[in-house]
This record gives sequence, structure tokens and C-alpha cells, in this order.
Amino acid sequence: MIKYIIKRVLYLIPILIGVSAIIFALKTWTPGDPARSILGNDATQEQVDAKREELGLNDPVLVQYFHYIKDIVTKGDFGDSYRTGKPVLEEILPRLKTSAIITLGSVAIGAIIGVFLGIISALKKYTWADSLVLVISMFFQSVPEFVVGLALIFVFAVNLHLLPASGIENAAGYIMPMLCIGLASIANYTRITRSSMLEVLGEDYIRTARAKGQKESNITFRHALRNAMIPVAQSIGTSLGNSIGGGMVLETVFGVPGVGKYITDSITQRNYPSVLGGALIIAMVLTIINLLVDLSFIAIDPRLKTTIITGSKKCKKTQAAA
Amino acid sequence: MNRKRLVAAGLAAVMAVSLAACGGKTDSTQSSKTTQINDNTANSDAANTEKTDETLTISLSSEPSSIVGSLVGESENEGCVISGAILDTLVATDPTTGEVKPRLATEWEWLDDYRVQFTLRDDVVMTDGHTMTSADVVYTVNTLAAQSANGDAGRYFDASKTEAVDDTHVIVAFNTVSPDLIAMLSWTPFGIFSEAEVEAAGGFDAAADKPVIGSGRYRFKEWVAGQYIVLERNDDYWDDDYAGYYKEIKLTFTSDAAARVMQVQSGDAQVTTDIDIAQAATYESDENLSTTFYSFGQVYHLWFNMRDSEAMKNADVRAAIDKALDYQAIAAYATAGQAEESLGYIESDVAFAHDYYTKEERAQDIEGAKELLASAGYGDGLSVKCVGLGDTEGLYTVIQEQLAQAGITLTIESTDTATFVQAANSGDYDLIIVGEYLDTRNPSAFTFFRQANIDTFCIGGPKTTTSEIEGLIDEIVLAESNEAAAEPIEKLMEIFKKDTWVLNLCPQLKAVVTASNIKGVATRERGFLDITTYYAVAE
Repeated sequence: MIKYIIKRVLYLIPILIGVSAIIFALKTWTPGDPARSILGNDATQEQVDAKREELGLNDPVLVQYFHYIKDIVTKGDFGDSYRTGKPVLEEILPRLKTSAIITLGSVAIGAIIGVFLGIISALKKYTWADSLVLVISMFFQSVPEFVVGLALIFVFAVNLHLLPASGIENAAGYIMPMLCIGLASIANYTRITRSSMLEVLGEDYIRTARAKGQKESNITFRHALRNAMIPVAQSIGTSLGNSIGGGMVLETVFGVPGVGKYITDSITQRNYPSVLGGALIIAMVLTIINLLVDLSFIAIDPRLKTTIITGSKKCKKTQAAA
Repeated sequence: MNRKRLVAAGLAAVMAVSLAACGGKTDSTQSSKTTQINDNTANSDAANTEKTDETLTISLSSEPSSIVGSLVGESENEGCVISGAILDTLVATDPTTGEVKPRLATEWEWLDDYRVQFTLRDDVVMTDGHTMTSADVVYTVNTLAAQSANGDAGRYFDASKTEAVDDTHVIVAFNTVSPDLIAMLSWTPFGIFSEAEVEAAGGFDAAADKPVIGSGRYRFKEWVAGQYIVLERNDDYWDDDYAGYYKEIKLTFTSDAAARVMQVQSGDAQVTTDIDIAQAATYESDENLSTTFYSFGQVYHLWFNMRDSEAMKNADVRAAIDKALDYQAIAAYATAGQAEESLGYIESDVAFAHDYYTKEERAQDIEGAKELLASAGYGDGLSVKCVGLGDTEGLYTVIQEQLAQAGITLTIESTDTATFVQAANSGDYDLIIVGEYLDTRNPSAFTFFRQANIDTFCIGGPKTTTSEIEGLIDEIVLAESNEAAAEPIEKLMEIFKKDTWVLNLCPQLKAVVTASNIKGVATRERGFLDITTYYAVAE
């Protein structure tokens, strides 16, 4: 197991090299001058040239890339933001924390409601309840997050005065951003849970359990749901990864200082250290999340341990031997 | 059947609740609450006479990279709104007349073409409790001049000749000649701070981010990155005529304008800025909101590339483009009907503004445009390429449609700030659209471009010049007074007009949306909002 975890962590090296190389290449190909972006339209060419020299932008790209990687490896230094002059890591970490809280909350909201609706939908298949669940979940998936966000502000802040319209100065500030992302993902979890549950509920061992007189609730939650949860867990992992670097629209609407908007703004400002640092940190977080998701499969279904850890080749050999 | 009815009833109830919630308190029959700022002299407002323990929350569109950018050579605008409340300048300028007025300096006198001696107030208390002296002014000038390699603020100072005469008299020296450099000292980046304050803050970088410096109406209290900045009222403020209505001003940051307005509607904020003009106009009927439009002194100009574009070298083509444009429609679109077309090269409420056109001269004349194009050899049509900043794409579409009526096909490439200057100066485009001051007696215009060795007049300008124009600019920059500058300005603008060197498209406006009980919207020099003048009235 430990060997497997180390192997997965080592995958980070080629991933980070690839991500940083691509962004450095984009830096070369993308039009626009970071120095000009910092100094504004009124700066003279002499000022711009001096700034370029100060930022090391006149060095060959490969030299810049080498220095950048060297600083990360030797000092853990992701560079300083062109815009603020502060270390990128110092700027990103609080934002990453905020994004992580919102992501976890939203995935929890989406997963809990989605799985609940998916179970109802599967148990009441082809009834009005099944249709209603489908309509509700599809509604939140169809409406853009931006619109849902504004609608939530309008209802809960402007009219009901229950939640703050923006900011995360207290816990209440997190509720609407979490709801907004969570509601959009309900349909996904509902659909996966429904189809997975329907598949499992048709299995022989469920029929056997029923024949043995087990309670329906016991069959649903103990036998069926646990096995149906693997695709849901996989989807949760993907959602965690997608949301942590995304959610820019929400940050725009709710005034939440997350990592998504930080990177997007940095792209517009040609603030390459922030773009690079943000992308690399997110790549690391995603790799770790994927690893944790894979490990969670083992917790849900121990039979998957062989498949995940030893790989499919060894698994096939085992099956052949059996 | 019963089950279906139950579902239908449930859905109806959900919809009813949703609609009730969305009903809000908007009353479309309310009269317009839109106003425009006519002056920024808020001295008779309640903000100047009453004090409360309340906090004013202002929702801004973006967070500044630093609050006092001039300390670290930054020239971005976001911080100027905030630093204007923290720092005071030596002088003020009247927004309508351009007249320079006392602020920290009570009077001044030119010693020669380059040096001016200021007499300072003796009752100005800085954040650390010491009384401002001429040493603080010298330190500020030295700091700004040292940072001028990175930013605008210190570009015109001659630090080596700036000196304290005594505690209340200081000589400020410039490295160029222009009487209007005194007016420049009223701009926010020229606010006065002291060495002791900067050192106590931990140096320039720290003082730029946590500026417990200066003598302004408010003092820095807290900045939580990404979330908010809090300022607190300066109860030791030197101007007894100003009280400061709010004890604290809290500035928050949300990019989306609709969300910011909802913050005001919800009561979480009382003021929001940078609202799109067209969007702001839609809030006129909301009884809970008050919308104020204001000019920040810029005009959209259309420059012709008279060096690289064969078509634009031809005066008839330039005149044809002028005639093909419907300036009234452009202004109506760009300002959502809040302003009329520009008749001068700079906004009419900016100092030194002149009207150079009559409304008749600016009327659209498609047939006249076609005739001019035909005489220039483009009777079969003309294709031109233009570059502009990406924030005004709607305006570009209006211009495209108007020019198309005269047979001119206009392709517009929108860029962001990082690429605009490079593109505008590249010579690859026939036309350049840019929002700018082009204030003929303003150091940021001709004096600046002269010093910066930028080709002719401005970024992306005509890229050519004449000895006559250069001579007139010399006369303007070196004039000893506004009166002396008036004649060469007049001549220069006549040349611009006669030979169609540049077209002024329309003024640029911004909008502030406040809760309906909030008053005191005002601007500081250069069109920056003054966040210290707001106050609440009973409704």
C-alpha cells in the first residue's frame, strides 16, 4: 500500500514538469507584456524596459524556466507576484483554503441531496416521484451557476435578509457559494446513484436477501447502497478536482477570494508567477485528491484493493490462475 | 389523479413562493433618482458637520494591489480611491475652473521657471502624532522621484533642488517647465507622508499595503487580503469644517456589478462603484437605490495612423470617416443617454476645456462621406483595421454600423491592457480608439509625452507631426499662465479640426449606485471618487 502511495506521489514530478513547461511556453507565445501590464498605458518604453530587466523577462525562456524550477525545488519558492510583489505561495494558500472549504461543502451538499434523490428515484422508478426528482435535478443543472448565484442573493440576502450578500467574514457567508455549486451538481449524483442503484437492486444477492426476509430498508442501505456508491465516490473525486480550481463565476458573484479567480485575473494581467504557482499548486492538490479517492474505493469495497494497487495486469494473472 | 393534483399544487406553491420572493420592492412608477455630480465641493454636506459611530460599506469591483501605489512606483487606479482618503495633497483643484486652491499648503510662489515655494499649514497632525513640517514634503518628493523609474508620480520632480526653508516653508523643484505642474500636485499620488511613518510601517512595501501614514480624513485600520479594507475616521483632522459622518469605511470587493448592486439592495453595502452606464440606467426606477453618473474627464478618441496607413494619410478619407459618424448616437449609446456628444477634445467639465465643434458640424452626412471617399479614390469602398481596448466592444459595433453606411468596412480588434499599447504603437492598424484626457494644459499630456519621447501626441496617436504642431506644443508647455496658453491651444485644436487629425467620439461616464438614503457622492481630482463625503439622511 505504501509503495503504491509513493508511486502515485512520484507521478507528480512529470505532471508538474508538464504543467510548468506548458505555461512557460504559453508565456512565450501569448501576446502582451507583463511589464506594460504592471506599469499601465502611460508608462514610457524606458520604464517598461527597466521593469522587464528587473523581472528577468529579458532572459531566454529556458533560462527563466530553469531558474523557476530550481527555486521551487531548492527553496520551495514559487516566485513573487508581478502585481503585488508578494510571494505567490503566501497569496495562494489562504485562497486555496477558502476554495477547499467551499468545494468540500458544495460537494457534500450536492452528494447528500443527489444520492438521496437518486435512491428515491431508483426505488420509485417510472413513477411521478421519479419524474419530479429528474425535473428538479435537471433544473439546477440547466440553469447557469451565475444565475443561480444571483437568484440566491436576491432571495436570501435582498428579500429575506437571512444570509450576507457577499464575503466570508463569518460561516454564513459560505452557505450561498456552497449551495450554488452544490445545487448544480445534484443532477450528476442523482443520475449516477439512480442507475447504479437500479443495477445493484437487480443483482442476485439482493433477490436472495429479499427471499431471506430481510427488511427493505436493510436491503437498500446496507446491501444495495454500499455497492452502488463506487461510481458516486468516483464522481465526488472528479467534482472535488474540478471545483477547487474552478468556481470563478461564484467568486465573481459572491466576492469570495478563491484560487480560481486569482489565476484567471493573473492570466489577464500577464502575471505569470501567479499563474504558474496557482496551476502547479492545483495540480498537486488534484493528484492528492485523486489518490485519496482511489484509496476510498478500497474502503468502500475491499475487493478492489488488488485491482487498484497491483494494477490490471497482475489482476488478470490472478484471475487466470484462479 | 389525486397524486397528479398534489404534484401540480406543490409546483404551483413553489412557483408562487419564488415569484413572491422575486417581487422585491421595486416600484416602476417611482420617479427617477438619477443625478449627476456637478461639483465636488461637498463642504456644506452633513459629512462635514455631523459625526456618527456607523460604518459605511462600499463595494468595489476589484481589490487594489497596494493602497498607496506611489510608494512603490505603481500607477494603477484602484488604490487611488482609497489613498485619497488617507493622504492629503499640498493643493486642491477646482473641478469646474481648474483653479488651484490651498490644502496642506496655504500659499505658494514661483521662484523661477522650475521652483515653487509653498507655505505649509502648521496644524496638520500626521498619524504618528507629529505636526507636519517641510521635511515631510521633502521626504515625499524624494520618495516619489526615486520611484519614478517605475511609475508616474515622481516623473516631474527635481529632488536635488527640493529643499526645506524652515518648518513651514518648502521649495519644490521640477525638472521641466510648466506652470500647471502645481495643479498636478493636487492629484492623489502626490499625497504627503513622513519618513517616520514609513519607517514605523516597515518600509515602502509595507507602508504601501498598510499605510498608517499621512494626514487625510481617514486612517488605515485593517486589510484582510481578498476580503476587505477598513479605514477609520481621523478625529485629529486639521480641517475643522470637515467632521466625517462615518466612523469607519469598509471597502469590499466583488467583480460582478449585478451582485454589487444586490449588496446595496440587501443593506450589506451602502455604496457600489464602477457600474456599467447602461446597467446603472436600469436602476432608476428602484426606490431603494439612487444612481449618480459622473464624468472622470476622459473622452473616447479615434486616432488615424497617418504614418503607415496609405488611406489615413489622405485628409479626404479622414474627413469622410468624420462625416460618416453619428456622434449623437455614439454618445447616446456609450453613456446610456446620460450625455451628449463631445464638442471639444476634452470633457467639458474638465479644466481648460473648449468647444471646437458646433452640433451642426458634428451631424452625420453619409452622402458627403461617400463623395469624399470617391474623390480620394475609394469610391468602391474602403476596408480599414482598428484596435481598441476590449471594454468597449458595444461602442465599436455602433461605429462599425455607421461607417458601413458610407461603404467603409471596419474591422476592430479588441485587446487587453497588456497588449493594447504594443498594438496601438505597432503601426499595423489604420485607426486606434482609446479613452484619454488629451488635456492640453495637463502635465500628463504634452509635457509627459515630450519627456517620454513618445511619437507625437499620445499612445497610438497619428505617428507623425509637423513643425507647426511641434512649435505650438512648445508654446503651450512653456506658457507662463493659462491665459498665455490659450492662444496656442486654440491654434493647435484648429489644426486638429481642419485637417482631421483626431476625432473625439464621446465622453466617458461612470456610475455610482447607493442606497437611497445615502448622499454626498463627490469626486476628487482626476475624477476619482471621494469616499469621505458620504452621509445618511432620514427617509
